[in-house]
Amino acid sequence: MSQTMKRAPKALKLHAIAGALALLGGSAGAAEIDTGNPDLKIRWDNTIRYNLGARVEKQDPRILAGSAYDEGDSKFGKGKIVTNRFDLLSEFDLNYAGTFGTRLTAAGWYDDAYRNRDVTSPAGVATSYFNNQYNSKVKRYINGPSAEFLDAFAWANFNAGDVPVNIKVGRHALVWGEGVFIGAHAISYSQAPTDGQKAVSSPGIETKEVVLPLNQISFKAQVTSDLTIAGQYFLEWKETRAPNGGGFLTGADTAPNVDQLGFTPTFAAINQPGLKPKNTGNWGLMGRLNVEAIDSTLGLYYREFTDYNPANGLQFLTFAGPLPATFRFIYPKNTKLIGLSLSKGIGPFSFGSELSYRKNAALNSSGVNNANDDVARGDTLHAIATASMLLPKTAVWETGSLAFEFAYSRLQKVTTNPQLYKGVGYAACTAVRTPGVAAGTPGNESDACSSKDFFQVAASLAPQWLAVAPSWDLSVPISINYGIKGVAPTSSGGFEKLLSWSIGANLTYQAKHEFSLRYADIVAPSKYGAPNANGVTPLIGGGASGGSLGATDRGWLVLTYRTAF
Amino acid sequence: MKIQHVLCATALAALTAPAFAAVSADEAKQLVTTLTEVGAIKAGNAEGTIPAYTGGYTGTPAGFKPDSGFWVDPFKDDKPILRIDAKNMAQYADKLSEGQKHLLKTYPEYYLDIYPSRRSAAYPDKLLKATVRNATTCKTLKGGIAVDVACRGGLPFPIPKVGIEAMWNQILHYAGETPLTTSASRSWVIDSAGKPTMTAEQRTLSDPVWFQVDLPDRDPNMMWRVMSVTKAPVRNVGAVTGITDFIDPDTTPRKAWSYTPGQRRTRMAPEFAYDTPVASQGALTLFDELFVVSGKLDRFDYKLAGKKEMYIPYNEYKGSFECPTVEMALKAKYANPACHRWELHRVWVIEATLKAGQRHAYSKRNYYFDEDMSAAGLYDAFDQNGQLYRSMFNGMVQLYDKKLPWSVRNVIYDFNKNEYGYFNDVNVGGHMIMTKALSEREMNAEAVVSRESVR
Repeated sequence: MSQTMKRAPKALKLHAIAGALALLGGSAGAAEIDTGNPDLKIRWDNTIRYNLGARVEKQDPRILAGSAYDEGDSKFGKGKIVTNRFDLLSEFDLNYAGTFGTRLTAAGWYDDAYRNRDVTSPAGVATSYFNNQYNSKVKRYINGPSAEFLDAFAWANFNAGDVPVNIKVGRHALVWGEGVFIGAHAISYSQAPTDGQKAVSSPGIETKEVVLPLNQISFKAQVTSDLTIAGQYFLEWKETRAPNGGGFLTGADTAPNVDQLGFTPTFAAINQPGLKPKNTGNWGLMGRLNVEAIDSTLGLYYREFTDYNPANGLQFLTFAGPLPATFRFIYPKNTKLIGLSLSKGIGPFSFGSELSYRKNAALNSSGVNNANDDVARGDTLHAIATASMLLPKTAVWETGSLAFEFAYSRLQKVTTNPQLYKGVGYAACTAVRTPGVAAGTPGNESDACSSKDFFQVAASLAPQWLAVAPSWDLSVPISINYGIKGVAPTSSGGFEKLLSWSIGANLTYQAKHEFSLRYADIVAPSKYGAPNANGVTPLIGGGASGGSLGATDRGWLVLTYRTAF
Repeated sequence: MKIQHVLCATALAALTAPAFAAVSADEAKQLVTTLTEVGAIKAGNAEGTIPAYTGGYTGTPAGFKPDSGFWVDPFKDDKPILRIDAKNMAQYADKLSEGQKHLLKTYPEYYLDIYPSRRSAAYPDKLLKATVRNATTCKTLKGGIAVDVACRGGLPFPIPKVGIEAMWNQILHYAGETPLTTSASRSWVIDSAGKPTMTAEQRTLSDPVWFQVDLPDRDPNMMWRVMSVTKAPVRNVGAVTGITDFIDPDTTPRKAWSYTPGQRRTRMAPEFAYDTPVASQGALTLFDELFVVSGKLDRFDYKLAGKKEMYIPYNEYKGSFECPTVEMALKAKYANPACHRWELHRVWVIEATLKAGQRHAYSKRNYYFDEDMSAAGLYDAFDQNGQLYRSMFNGMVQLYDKKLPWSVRNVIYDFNKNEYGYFNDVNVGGHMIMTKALSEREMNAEAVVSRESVR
């Protein structure tokens, strides 16, 4: 941002922005298209978002020396622009008399910061990409310009006797349960693939863009005035879009879209297509019941799914001598989940809770068993308690919101491939080889081995001040996510001492134009090897997944402008 | 131990026994003689500036199109009989609220055009019968914060004896028997520089459960509920919220749920209560000021200070249906006086004081509710130093073909922030009244969302 803006008196600066915006957004009126027919309602809304971000924290030489983490870390140095991105979300809704309709949405993007598609590996091994250039798939999502359709479905409402029923057919996404922040332990875990790349690179993004829609048929029926039944049957399976290796916001260089995994300066294993299921097979059923006697809403859920998230162990398929020659990511099949939820108001809080049990869940694994093409599997228990409230007026703030969520997870038993389960006390859990640690030394949580129990907390406090200047509202969102104790038994389910946090300031003008400034960073318990030729101890592992360990020096500041018309 | 028992018993008795003496049968007879069935004084006033009540307006003005959403002004040929501004306000000070006086004093261009008083409120017989029945039988419970379910179907206290009973009359004002909907109800915040922002545009449905005595599937403890689907601003399009209030907020506190676009699930909303400001209305209203009175009445003591003649917004057909926002309805510091119609009416005066030991932004609030139609009137609120903080003007129109006196747009002034809010603006779309109520199944949050939002 220009220095002169920093020095101008605040009110004057805001007034100038206001003047400029008056030329831009037009009236605050909705984009409802007049069809002349009062029963036919058509809306077309467009949301644009612009992000300009820079790396604030300098590169940690130990991460640059770590061959599994250096590509992403070396892409942009301190002070460099890490995102210069424009996003457009276009939404088209047609509603005929509340009886039937369609919804079509599309997203487009371009990030100029990745115009240069070079990838380097300061640690000296081969990069993850052929010719050291992002491949076409990564280029498409990390740089663009590109676009895609998201929602594309038709819906209808009708009465089956006295029972109102809603049906949706086509590409859409549903999220069940009460959990909000901690998806890994929620009833909604893997209920839809997520766009992890966009979620990290585009702050200010709506949840509706992060949860990717898939072709499915879903229904909801109001069986009695207190009982709702709903279900979904998927007709399509697509994997979660993990953040791409070699991008600024991914700590780990190896991700599903890479071309290869470098072992030496000249040798790399080639990435094969991932092991994915056929299109049908994921489905779910749920019921929600209002129970007056306890003033609560109870939910019961049953889901069967092939995980949209890849297992955390790579499958090495063929070898060239001692080194792997080909590898792939696998997507664990046939997990069954049964869940229970309860929500009610408790004083000023809206409280929600969940309890779920997964059978054949994908566990934290050291690799894949080529005999059954599977990772370690087991039965796990998960619980979530979440609460939110509006902030009352105090001397410090006018209003705002506070929300927090606790998650707990526990391994009941390992049912498949126990030799691959990276749990404390199990064979596959070995200590990270920091100097002096012999190969095969049993490891613990600090080596990212799972413990029996896991506790995590996430919180968000956003005090708000309205009319700090005429028509300008301010909020200061502060969020944290912290692994309190233990390492979750499920694949990438959470790690103790892993902290991600952010603090920001959002200014909204006339309820329409939003400006935010946000700083985000993470802290992860890391482990380092013996000094290399330059005397630097490289990052070799630690008590979290590679994606986090490699990203602890990426503290960044991003300015976002968002508006809709 | 024994003393404790006695104190305990007395405390319990105070909670459960009706707090105040009921209205005697003789007093109740006034409801057919000197008082109207809703407890207003039938006769006009001595000066002739308030006419006698003759059943309200039940005619059909020329040009009225039923079910168009709009009502033609039956009094469109009336001319103002008086204009009050800063220069002559002292003469009329005893008939003005603190908020009106403050605006007149501060802005020399502000004025109140006073029109002939027309007592247009008219009610269906069924409602009037239930109200007369309530005169001798209805009572509040739990020290006044709850009302007896036996009072359903009518206005609770046509002859209020204490302040809290008059407050219940406002909360339970007649709202018809079937849902009333809007297609584009808008909220405006006009900042201290005079710039208006539309903070929300919503489709709304309010369901007057208290009066739906003939529907067997209704929960008798439910008072009313309202649902709204957001149409603007764009980032909130498709958001649905629902609020339900109950006649005993102690046993069953307010229930609120909300559906956020993109997640496609409904969640329970946190409590909206007391002096938490309503962020979506620019923090110009506190949650317990929504609809003038909202929520549990336990933090204030209410004193019924009799009746007074005051100039209140009344028969605001022109202002509600013919005064386009923004161009005409909003001026920089106040709602356009040309779009207001003020009339002299008798109002119930209720003085509320914050109870000792209770916390709230206000120390004192005064309510002035029309004797014929309890939702219309004026409101002043004072901060902890006794300074005027906020004032509200709540107008009415008689929906003459439906025998429904309805409270329309609401203007609130925040003298602290120097801003004002203009809410329930329906000059686009107006109001529609459904012919049949929705079933309980159809009113369930999940079913509502399925019908109203796919975002």
